[in-house]
Amino acid sequence: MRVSNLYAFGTTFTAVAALWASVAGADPVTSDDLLSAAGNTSEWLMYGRTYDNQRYSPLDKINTGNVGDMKPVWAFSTGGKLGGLEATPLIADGVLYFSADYARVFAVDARTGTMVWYYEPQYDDGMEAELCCGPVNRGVAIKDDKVYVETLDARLVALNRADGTVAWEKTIDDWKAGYTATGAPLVIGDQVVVGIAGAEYGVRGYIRSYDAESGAENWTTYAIPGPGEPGNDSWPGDTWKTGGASTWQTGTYDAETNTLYWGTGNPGPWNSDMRTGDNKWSCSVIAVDATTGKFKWGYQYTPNDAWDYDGNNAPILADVTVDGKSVKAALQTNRNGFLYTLDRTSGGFVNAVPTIDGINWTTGLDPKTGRPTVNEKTRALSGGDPVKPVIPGLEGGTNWFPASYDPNLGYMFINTNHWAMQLDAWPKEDVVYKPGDLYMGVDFQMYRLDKDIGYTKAFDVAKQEFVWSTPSPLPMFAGILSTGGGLIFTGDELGNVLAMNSKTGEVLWEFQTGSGINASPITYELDGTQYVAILSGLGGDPGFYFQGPKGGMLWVFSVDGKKAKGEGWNPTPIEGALPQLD
Amino acid sequence: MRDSSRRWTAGRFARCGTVAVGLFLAGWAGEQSLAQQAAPADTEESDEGAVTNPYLGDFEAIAAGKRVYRSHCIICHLKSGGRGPNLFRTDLTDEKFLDIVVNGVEGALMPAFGTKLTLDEIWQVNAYVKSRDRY
Repeated sequence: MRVSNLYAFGTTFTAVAALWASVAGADPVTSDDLLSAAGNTSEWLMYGRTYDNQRYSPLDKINTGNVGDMKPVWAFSTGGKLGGLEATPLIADGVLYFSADYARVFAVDARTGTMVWYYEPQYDDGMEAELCCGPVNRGVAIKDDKVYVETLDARLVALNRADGTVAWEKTIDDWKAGYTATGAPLVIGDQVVVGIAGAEYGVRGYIRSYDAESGAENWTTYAIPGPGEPGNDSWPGDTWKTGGASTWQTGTYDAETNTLYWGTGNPGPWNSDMRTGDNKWSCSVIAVDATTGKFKWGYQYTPNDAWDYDGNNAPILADVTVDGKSVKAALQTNRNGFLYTLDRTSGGFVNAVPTIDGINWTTGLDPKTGRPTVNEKTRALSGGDPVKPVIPGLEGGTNWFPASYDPNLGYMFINTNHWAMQLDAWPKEDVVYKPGDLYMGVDFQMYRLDKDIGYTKAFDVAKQEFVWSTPSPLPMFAGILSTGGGLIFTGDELGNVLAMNSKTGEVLWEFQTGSGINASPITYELDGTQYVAILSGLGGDPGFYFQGPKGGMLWVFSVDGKKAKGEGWNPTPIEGALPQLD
Repeated sequence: MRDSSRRWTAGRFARCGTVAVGLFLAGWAGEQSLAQQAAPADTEESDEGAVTNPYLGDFEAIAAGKRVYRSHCIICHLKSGGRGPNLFRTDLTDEKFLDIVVNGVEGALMPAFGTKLTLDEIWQVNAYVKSRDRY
């Protein structure tokens, strides 16, 4: 059957929209609701659950004692072209909102698994040829009566929560010049904040705020400083204009200081000798005033990056004690193989610990500043010999998939990968910027180092050491959820949803979803029962290295939950194919 | 709704300015024998009527194809295969190669490059990958 036939939704659209009336409440999600999300265990209102991105829920009805009895309650196919799922679902008022590949958005009644509405963005021909890493999307944002999604071709679309119709849409940038979008928007107060992707296409990264109600643009803050701004001189000549530092992962917000933290990607092209200098603020985290976008500080994990070590993974905010000192910390696990503890009030370096063995791109970090001493043997020079092995390979370490922090245990849970790469930099004259074309300048090849590549690890923040590590033969690319039930949840590329004991890493429960998992789990409580939901569907970067069955499913689990009779996503009749026999 | 199974038509190629490909596809997309159509000057036909790459073995075209490969293909196909197959060991016919690059692959991650690359560029990259068994 042609997939497009399943998408003949014109007729069902109005039918499912009517279901909205039966869906409880639909109260607006206010700015205050978002600020107080930590205490709201029945819903999951934003990407990282709370603004600090801890992805920790106090729910404990599913716990180490009963997780072995967890079973699927219902599942929902996202259909389509099976381009890979990377999103974190949201749930508000008993309705799950999530994006699938191509930034298609679903609203599904959590009690029945019945689709409430569906939104499919339309794309110009040729747009898919402008995506570095697959047609993925990492999720939606909710505020009041709207749901926000960034489309692959760099539009911000506001959908009406009631029926999925478009309230407004704004063009963030020109996809034909390589600017695309894959992240989940972040709502702060009356703003929707977005980033952009495209560091392999010579973009100049920025974060931008829109008015949540009208879509009017509030402010734009570039990750790469412009002429006259501090740090611009870390780029020779005009290289800052096409220097990358994309902002493709959702940021973190500290309401106490009204500060927005946002990770930035690799500089471009990959030839580091074509942009001698630190290349601020690529491979960094930047802190900006959330109301004005005004730059506060930046911390650069990897100056003059030559290894594609994006720093996009969002920091987790936590108040911790390290070496007997209280630290208002920003915790970040990085593609360059280190897990950083920063002082989020100043951007000061506290400590960094390797998440994998054998890191060789640096011989060590300065204990005061964290600045790496580069092992120059791992830097590919333009037109020079290939360099290998470089550890970690460009995927990390920890790529974009979100980590989690359990404030009771004081543990940060990460997925990280131990593998290597070769880099081969082209002669400079071969690296020419042309809008919309790749602007990489370096060939890469990833290598397996050992039987296992992926690791789920727990990091004791106070002691600054890892306390357990659970391996996987394939790279781990899923986000992590930790709960008050003494559990963490994640998924592997073999297709398993995993529940582990958060104190020991022991796998207490697993469920095979049929396709690799590169999305992030959530938990919520509905009618007195705790549920866990996660999207399954191989895609994105893991697809570079492994062929496996594709998929596109939302899975919902509980220990004792029951589903009301629902309709799912009903097939619609193909016109003329099955008429009623007279 | 997007009909992702649709094929490129001559009209759409003409609109995007890739006239040579448009002429060529006027026959191809219509699934008619190309022998019934006037073949464009830069596309050759074999005895069986298959469309073949006129640039195979052409040194300049191979060099140009390397640039095209690095500007558009390498992010997925890498040096010897990745998200996409190793093109340096492809056993696709020229015609099938052209089809896939222009239209993409339904149900796979290969996007359509029909609006992005010219017919010449597609033949150049085809000549490049067929000129060696590795990058």
